[in-house]
Amino acid sequence: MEFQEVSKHYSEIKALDKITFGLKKGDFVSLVGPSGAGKSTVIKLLIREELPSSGKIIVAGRDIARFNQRTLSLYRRKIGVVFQDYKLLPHKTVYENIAFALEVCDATNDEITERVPKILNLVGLADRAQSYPKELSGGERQRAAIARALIHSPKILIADEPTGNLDPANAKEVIDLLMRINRTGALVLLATHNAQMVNALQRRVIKVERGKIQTDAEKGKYL
Amino acid sequence: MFIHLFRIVKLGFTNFIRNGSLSIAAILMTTLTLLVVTTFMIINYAVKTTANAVQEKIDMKAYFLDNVPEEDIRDLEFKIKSKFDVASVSYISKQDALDRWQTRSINQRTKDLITQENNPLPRTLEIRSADPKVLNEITQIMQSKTYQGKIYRISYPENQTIIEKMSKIANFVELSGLILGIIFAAVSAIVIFNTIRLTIFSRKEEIEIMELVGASGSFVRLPFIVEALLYGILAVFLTIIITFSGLKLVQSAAILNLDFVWLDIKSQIYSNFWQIILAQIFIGIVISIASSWLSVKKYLK
Repeated sequence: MEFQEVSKHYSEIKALDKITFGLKKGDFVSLVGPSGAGKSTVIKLLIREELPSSGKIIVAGRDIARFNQRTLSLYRRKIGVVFQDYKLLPHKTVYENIAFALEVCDATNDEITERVPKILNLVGLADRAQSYPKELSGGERQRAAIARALIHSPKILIADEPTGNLDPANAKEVIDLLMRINRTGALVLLATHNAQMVNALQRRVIKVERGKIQTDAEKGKYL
Repeated sequence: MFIHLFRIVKLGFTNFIRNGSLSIAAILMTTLTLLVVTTFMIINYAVKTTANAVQEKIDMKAYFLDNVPEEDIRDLEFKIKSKFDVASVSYISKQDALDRWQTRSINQRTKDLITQENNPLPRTLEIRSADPKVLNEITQIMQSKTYQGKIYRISYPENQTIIEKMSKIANFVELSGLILGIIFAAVSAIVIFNTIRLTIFSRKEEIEIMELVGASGSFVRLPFIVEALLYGILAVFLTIIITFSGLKLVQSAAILNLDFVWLDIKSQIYSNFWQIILAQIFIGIVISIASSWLSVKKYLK
């Protein structure tokens, strides 16, 4: 996966300014920087929620801006995203929200009934399966969002501040979960401004500030 | 494929129930517009039927002088029946005229002025036709030389203006009914479209999330279509119930005020039952689905 001189402008504001970097299968990369630095923009471009103003994003040799509707859906099914604002479907229970991600992948009913309870246990939401998002606390919503992102064993996992609403113990569990999925060969991209956590990981760190890459270091630290 | 379809229908139904208040609002708005259209259609039928009925009641009468042989009158009756498109031609003999006279609600003294022996009532041909043109032609024949000195009065020229007015009214109602019908249908379509667009607008975030999770266009769109189909079916169903129980309710008042034409109106409505239902289905269901399709399309990226 490659960003080639990608820029993104919102009217007068330059959110990203000609950034270039590459990610490989099996990478665990932390994307750090202060709020407003452009982390979320990178993620939005990566899942093609938005298109770059200039530059190209190449995934598996193809420019994602050229995907048609069908290819785009297929592409998104290979990615799991934990959104900063969770993006849970308001009229579906936690169980249904997670099952939905499998339904769109044409999973069988058996697969759904087998996998959803497992992942709910894993994120500690088994007893909230029948609750609606509005009935959950911030931390619970975040865990539901993580469960949905992981349920279909994605090849790429993108997490935007996945520990923002969690206490340190829960946050560590989430990071462990991300590490585990990374060990299965998935590419994990973690956007955060939690310095302590990033430093403990001892993995690649890309630091963005004011729309530009400041540092990109293997085994980096969040300074 | 089958499981895909099953999931879409299931999603549609669950969304329909969970968005209860929105669903009810959409059904009520659709029902209301359908009721307006249906009521209009029924009023249109009623006015048209009344105009026709009144027109039919206005007949043409030719009064014959007493010295004309009955065969001549029968001849003319036969001629009219065979040559013209008339609803009926009937011969009223002197005796028939007297019988009618006796049944009129006038005082006995006046009634007694005319008796079997002293009967000045003329023999008459009564002609009915829905088409004023036909009556015009018959009048011309009766006014021709052949019948001069035989017929002393034709009632038609006196009624002509009112018949022409009635037929103009009937034509006007028919034409304006068609135009208004089209306008009403268009307005209803716009109202239904906007109602559905609003319900979908309030859920545009949902559409966005489904897409981001990797749902295909059809998987996002079709449950909304299922929902729209449910709105439409329920609205049509409600409208049918309200319309026909409404008709039952006004029945007694209608019989009282519309008298002889009510039965005609009623049979007109019932014989056009399928036309009414088809109009409702078209406006209610087809437009709901089309609106839903277009609205979701707007939010699909």
